[in-house]
Amino acid sequence: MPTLSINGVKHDLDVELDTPLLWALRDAAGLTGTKYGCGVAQCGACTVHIDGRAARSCATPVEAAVGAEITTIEGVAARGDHPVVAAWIERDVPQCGYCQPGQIMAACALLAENAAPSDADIDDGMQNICRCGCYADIRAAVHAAAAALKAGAKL
Amino acid sequence: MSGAPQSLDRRRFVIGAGLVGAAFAVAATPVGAQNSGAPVELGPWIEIHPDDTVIIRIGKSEIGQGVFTSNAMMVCEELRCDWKHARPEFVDPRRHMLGKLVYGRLETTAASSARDGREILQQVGASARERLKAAAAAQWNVPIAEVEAKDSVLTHQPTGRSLRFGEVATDAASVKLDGEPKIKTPDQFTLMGTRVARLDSAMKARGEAIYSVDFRLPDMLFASLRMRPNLNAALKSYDFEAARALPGVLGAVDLRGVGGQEGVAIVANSWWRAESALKKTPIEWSVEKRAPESSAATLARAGEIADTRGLALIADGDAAAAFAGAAKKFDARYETPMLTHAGMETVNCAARYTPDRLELWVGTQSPETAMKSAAKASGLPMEKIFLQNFFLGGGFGGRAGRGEIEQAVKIAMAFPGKPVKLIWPREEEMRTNAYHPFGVTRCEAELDAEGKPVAIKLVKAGDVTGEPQAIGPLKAVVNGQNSRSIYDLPYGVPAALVDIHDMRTGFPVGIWRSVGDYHNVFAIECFVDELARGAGADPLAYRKALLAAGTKYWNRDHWIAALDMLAKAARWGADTLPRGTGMGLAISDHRRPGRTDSSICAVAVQVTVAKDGALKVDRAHVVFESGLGLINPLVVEQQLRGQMSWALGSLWQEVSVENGEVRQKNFGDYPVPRMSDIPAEITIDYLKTDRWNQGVGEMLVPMPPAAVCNAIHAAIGKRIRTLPLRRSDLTWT
Ligand code: FES
Ligand code: FES
Repeated sequence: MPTLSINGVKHDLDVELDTPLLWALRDAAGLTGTKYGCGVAQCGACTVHIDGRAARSCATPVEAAVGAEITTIEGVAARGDHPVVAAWIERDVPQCGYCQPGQIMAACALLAENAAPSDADIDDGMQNICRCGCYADIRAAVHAAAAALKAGAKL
Repeated sequence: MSGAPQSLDRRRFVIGAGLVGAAFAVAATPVGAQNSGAPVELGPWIEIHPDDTVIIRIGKSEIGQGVFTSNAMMVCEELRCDWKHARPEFVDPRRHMLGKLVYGRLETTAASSARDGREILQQVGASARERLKAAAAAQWNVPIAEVEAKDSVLTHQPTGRSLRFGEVATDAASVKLDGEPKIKTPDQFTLMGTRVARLDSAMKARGEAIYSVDFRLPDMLFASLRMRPNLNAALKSYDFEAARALPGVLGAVDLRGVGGQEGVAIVANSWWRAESALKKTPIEWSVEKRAPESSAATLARAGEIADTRGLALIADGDAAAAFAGAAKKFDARYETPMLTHAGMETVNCAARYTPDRLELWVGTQSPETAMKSAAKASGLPMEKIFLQNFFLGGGFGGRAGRGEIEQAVKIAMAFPGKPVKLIWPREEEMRTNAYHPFGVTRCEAELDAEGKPVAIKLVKAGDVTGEPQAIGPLKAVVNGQNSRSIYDLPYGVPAALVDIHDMRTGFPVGIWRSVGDYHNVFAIECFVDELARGAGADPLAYRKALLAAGTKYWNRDHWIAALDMLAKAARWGADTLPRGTGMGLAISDHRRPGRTDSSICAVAVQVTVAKDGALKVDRAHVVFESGLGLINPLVVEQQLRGQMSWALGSLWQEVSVENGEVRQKNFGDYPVPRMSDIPAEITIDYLKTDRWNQGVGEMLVPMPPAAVCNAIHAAIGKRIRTLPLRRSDLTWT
């Protein structure tokens, strides 16, 4: 039974080592904020952070995440004052909302590398699919989060 | 997040019950609010709690269109409760079905959320307010007219005495009104029409919103499935032996013919184990003819059919004579392919069966159909069916029942007493659908020496499902979707022939945002552009002239006003654009026979085509008819921007069938738009009119494809008549 460190908590999970991290998170750890959209690393709905970097958990076997620190949307949201989550709420970004945990995880990773991204940086860095087409609002929210970072907020 | 055992007869399922409801309570209930007594219903839609919390039941599915917020606003506008006390929750579909459809129509399709609800919900709020006022007046023994309701407080104006809604709700429940109070007119709205933050934004941004795919019970089992790989295949056999011994695998369920599909499911103690077991399960299919082998061949046949006369929808003037005598002839064929929805959440449904009770947990656009399907599949009477709807990860017409209900019931019946959650893998979702049908339209016109059309002939051939109805001035009995918008032409042409061919190819087709409007607006709006260019006229001015020239079209003045607004917003014709850059536009109004409401939507885009053919949409401009008023402009604008993305994406999409197989399996071969595909500038302007807006959810979708193809012509002189765009060579020198 592999042990994963998720949002700072150790979980012993009843999964095979080749199970995609996505399904270990959703079915074994009960963390359903991370979503299934395609299963083949194309949509980004399953984006989590592994040691701070964005990863598509549907294409990451559990084995590759053992020993690493995994952060999911639940971990980010638990902070309460997270500038990216706050920007998303303030801007009313979500429509159906299904892609948004993945979008937020991708935005956090982008901002960690580039605290003041341009539109072009956002186009490049945010390749998650939103079928509801919230893109203009996502772009605006990333800029708002960047402004919050500049004003002293921490990722 | 693992849930406590739950049962569906706790009506407070979404809001109050642990797992599913907590998030909404967090979002919308004042911190520290305490229930100190029993909540009271004032009719089926409203329940008032002693702490003033108002439960508002939402009789539409939340598919992203913001109905949880906007329909709650309709009630609160009249009820005059404090908005922070409003807590929306899904209606109980069982109560609806057993109570003679007490909530009207739950089905959430055809952009109906606000249209179906507004008057009813305003009335519901107004009646409840009057009953609360009457109850307070009785307590104080004063005339009702002296009581004012505001912000969840009832005040006796002359004395200043007050009571909270929660304090008089019990008395109000027994008040009978002599008559229904009048509802507000748009000029009296204070909440409706304002930009109200969505009640579900926070929970969705925090990953706390629960979709049915997320729903969990402690002893839940999981199922995945394989459905026919070929539209003409039936399940012949499967060999479960190798999979049976895999860890966690519990059984296989034959889904032959279940829910109109063919397939087999494997059940395990986790979804991934079920899915992995399927990969080790050899399945044999037998081929039986039910659908065509090839979409390309079928489209070619549709083209031939569109060259022949069909059933006449319009026959104005003497077209034959006009065609004979005119100066300049235009002849073009427009073609759009089959498409699929590809909502982000794949199809899923959880069910638990016992002979006394069938519980279903499913996000659905059509709870009525789901309840009926479940009753039929289980053989249980309706009163034994309990269904909980959830937020949907996208709807778009693709989550109104695709066989998953019947499949989940069949699977659950194989594991009585156990909750089993069926999730379709994306590949199955994409290959098994009722797709958006293709449409082919042959367009002919004659212009006189001044460039004015003297005759037009449109013949449309499209794939259909469902029953025909009498449509258009000639009351032709045809499919309503196939003939949308083409049954009535706003542009004035002295002689007009419009024919329709309803094809029944056998391809599985259904509803997708705007359905037949998508084909028909593409054909009409591109063809008008061709005529304008052929006449050497500006396409926007040409449209205005055609609208003004003797047309009887009932809504033409608003069309002209919309075009004027669009010209301004889009800076139409203001700049001389370099070759490779051009602007195009399209306009329509989602017309439906017999409707007096209206939703004009006009779109202009500027595109740049690189010499290598790469296309970029630089900016997009929308004029949308807000009519007498929108409920919540914030969610309207979200949806309009979203539809821009949806529609621009469709330019590149196609569901194709080869050798009976749907070729598209995932986002790799069904491209959907991403951030970098969306124009940096999208403007939205509202056209106010004296009619109610008809809806939002699909109103913009037909316009961008035509606008983009018209803009491509303006940019590089190439006329695009066939989608997807990759069929066309956009290079230039
Ligand atoms: S589910 Fe992982 S990228 Fe789509
Ligand atoms: S909000 Fe619906 S998919 Fe992004």
